Amino acid sequence: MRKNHYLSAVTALFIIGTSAFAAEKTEKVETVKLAGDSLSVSADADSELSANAETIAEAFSKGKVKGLLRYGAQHRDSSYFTIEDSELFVPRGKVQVYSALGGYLGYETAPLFNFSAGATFYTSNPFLGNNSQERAGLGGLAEPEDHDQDSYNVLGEVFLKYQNAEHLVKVGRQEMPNYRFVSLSNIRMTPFTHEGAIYENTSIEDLKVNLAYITQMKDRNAEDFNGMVRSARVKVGRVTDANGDTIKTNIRGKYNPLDYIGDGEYTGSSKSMSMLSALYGQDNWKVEAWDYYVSDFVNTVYLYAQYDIEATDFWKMTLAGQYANQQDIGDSVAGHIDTWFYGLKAQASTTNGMVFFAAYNEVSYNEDSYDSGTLFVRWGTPQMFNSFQVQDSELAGTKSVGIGAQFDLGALDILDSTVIRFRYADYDMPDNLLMIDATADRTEATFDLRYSFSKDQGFGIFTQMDGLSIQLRIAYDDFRTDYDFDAYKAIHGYELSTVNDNFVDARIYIDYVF
Amino acid sequence: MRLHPLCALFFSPFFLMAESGITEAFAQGSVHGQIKLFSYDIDKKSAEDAYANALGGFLKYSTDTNNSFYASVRFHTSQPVGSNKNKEDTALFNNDKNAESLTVNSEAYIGWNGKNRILKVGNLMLNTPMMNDDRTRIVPWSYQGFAYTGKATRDTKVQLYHISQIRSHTSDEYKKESASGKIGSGITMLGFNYTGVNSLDLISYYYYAPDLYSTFIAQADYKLVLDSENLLCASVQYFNSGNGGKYAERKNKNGGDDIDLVAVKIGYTAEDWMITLNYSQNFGISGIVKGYGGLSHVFTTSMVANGRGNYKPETWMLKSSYDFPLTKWGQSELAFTFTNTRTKDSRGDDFDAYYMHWRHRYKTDTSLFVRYENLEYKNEKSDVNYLRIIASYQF
Repeated sequence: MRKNHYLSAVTALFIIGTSAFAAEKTEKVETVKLAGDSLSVSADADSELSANAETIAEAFSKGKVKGLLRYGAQHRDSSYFTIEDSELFVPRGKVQVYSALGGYLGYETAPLFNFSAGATFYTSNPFLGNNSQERAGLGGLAEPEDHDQDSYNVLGEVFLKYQNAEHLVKVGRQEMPNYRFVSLSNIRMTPFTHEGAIYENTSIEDLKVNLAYITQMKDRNAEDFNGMVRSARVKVGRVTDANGDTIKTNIRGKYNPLDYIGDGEYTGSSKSMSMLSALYGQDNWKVEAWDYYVSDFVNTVYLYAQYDIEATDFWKMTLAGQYANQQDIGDSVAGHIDTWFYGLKAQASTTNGMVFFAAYNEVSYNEDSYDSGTLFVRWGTPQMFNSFQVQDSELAGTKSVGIGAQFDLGALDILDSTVIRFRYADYDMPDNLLMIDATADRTEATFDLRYSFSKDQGFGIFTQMDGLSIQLRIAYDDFRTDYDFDAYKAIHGYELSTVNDNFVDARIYIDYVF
Repeated sequence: MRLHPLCALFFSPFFLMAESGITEAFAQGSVHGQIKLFSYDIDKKSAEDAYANALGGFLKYSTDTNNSFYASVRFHTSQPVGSNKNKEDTALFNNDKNAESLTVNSEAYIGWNGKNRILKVGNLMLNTPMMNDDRTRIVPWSYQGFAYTGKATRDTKVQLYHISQIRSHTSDEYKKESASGKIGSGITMLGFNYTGVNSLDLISYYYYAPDLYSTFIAQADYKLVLDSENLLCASVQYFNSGNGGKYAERKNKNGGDDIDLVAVKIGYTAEDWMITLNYSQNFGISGIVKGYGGLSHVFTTSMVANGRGNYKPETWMLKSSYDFPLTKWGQSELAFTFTNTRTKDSRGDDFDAYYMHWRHRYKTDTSLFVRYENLEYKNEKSDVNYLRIIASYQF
């Protein structure tokens, strides 16, 4: 079965590649983002400065509206296997599904003395299909504990903004699409939004400085905003042995158990994040340095560099590197944290809409750190180069190799308005029996297709486009399940309760953006 | 909230119009919004004293409504600001979630415009006597179902609605539950409006709710124009409910299967002032305060005081208002209402009430509205003072 997948993908790549090199074209195509798959939602961040209004009434009458009507559905056939004893796996098929209609409606006034204000409502509603409670877990709808998946409505943005050619200040609830680890992760029905204040400065040529103070954020399918520790999805994750003793938790080192009352999620005082970054770029290279400081929790340093090479008029090469380091700080509410990851990526693109890439990521494995070094990435879109559709390459000790290719079939004169992408990654997990957080190796193969009703070519899988578009995504995750659970139990004294088997994750988005 | 029955309709514009048509429909769309600051104080000499401040409003977007098919969506929100006490009693927030902030989808429908007829399907805000949106807070009531309005003859307008779920103004969830109780299979409404007789409007509604109770309403409005500035009016209305289903509660103050109410109104309107004398007598045990949702449109309605209660209230109400001359700062309105209610059943509440308001419109889009009412009960209930200050801006 797996061989058929590979054969189909290779055949498709060959056919497309043959067509691509038959005729060169020079039309402009979008540069593919190197990390962080997320549908865009806001034109605000990249918009040109609007003309100032002269009165309050004019500010309101000349404001701009943004809207999205989205049908979104996801199906994940997650076949968990419950381990009843060391020899026998008992399959317990678990299908997770949502099918929803929703989107957002937002309005921002025209600027008055460079000040403007805006608000955006987000919604998702059960629509078609079986959105029962037992199928919950994907986060496309509200997931109450006592009944089926349900609709939610939330005021995700309400802000006051000051912007001129060099300075941007924005205070309140807002979309923060461009701050790497803090971003939208818009891969369900509605995105993350954050609450706080930002300042962006572009007064020095080629340099951009960002400052932010973020007090809370809203999860994709939530109606409430939570502090930055809870939003990082910190969990105690206790494991007990046959004697009832707790012998393993995600948290390592000292922490206050009173911060984790109830279901093991963080319930202590709300913590905020301070963020600082500097981005400097020239024509063919750029460097970025980011720092995210969540008080009494974790400090994240993230470095990124990218170098572009115009190899020929037809080919462009891009080399990129990334590195992040996380350390606990202050009261260390999630215990000891000492982890890092790095990544390297090489990408080749052509002027007629083909992109080929390969990337490597490695995450630290440190049993003295939270979950042995798993990184906290849930404030936005995971940034690892090998963050694919389901696997994010953020788990402790992951060494991943990913490859892929994207084809703008319109630019290639094969099929107008269509972009496709193939990816494959191998995630080599820490699976030595002596490792307390050992887990199964896995691979992920993905296929994405985007069809636009408004553009013939020159767009990517996640490009924001007005008008109607359809996106199909499918991933096949193949887990190695021949782990020696008996030996593991003999060493560590407790059993793993579940292990994943292979699954398929399929998604569709039908978007109308206005 | 489930939208299964509406599935085909939500995407029908995409199937019925070419992409260019859709683009044009959205390009010609319109946006409307309101920002409202609402301060509410309920002054009771007891632990039920309550106050709260809320900031909110709505944002509405409609595609080009001149097309045969169009779509409209509206969100309302009400956020608590500042200090508060017993804020759930102010009905400004989400009482399903400890009176926290309330954000709702109040409208999301597909509309069809035909010749002299219109059909809307989805989440709707309504304006009928027993099912309406009640805009006296920030977040209104809304309803899920379909609403058809069309001309049957030259002088007759017909309304046919079917509502399957209702969202209260203090909830973000559509449920099979009205203000008077569960609605089971829903509520179907048939309405007629006949204007064929000069100076006379005849209106009639029938609400069929087999699992709750059904209600018949008839109303006649007569206007005698004296001259360009002076008008006499007289109206009569009648509400009668029955056919109680499994969810009907006869003593329910919001509505039950024993409403038997007659109301009369006579009034005089001049250029800048008006006065009306309103009277109602409910001969039934059931009240009609909220009906199926919103606030029932009975002539004896003030801000809080009304003649819509249960246990056979008889109410006299004198209403008057005066418009101050227009100045460069806008125009003010002052109003006064006196209410006298006596019940014919010992379980009811007798009370007198005084209401006054001052509303100033700086421009058509900006207003400040101060409302005060005092209810003086004749039984052991403690008297209550209500004060609402509402500033709003519309765009």
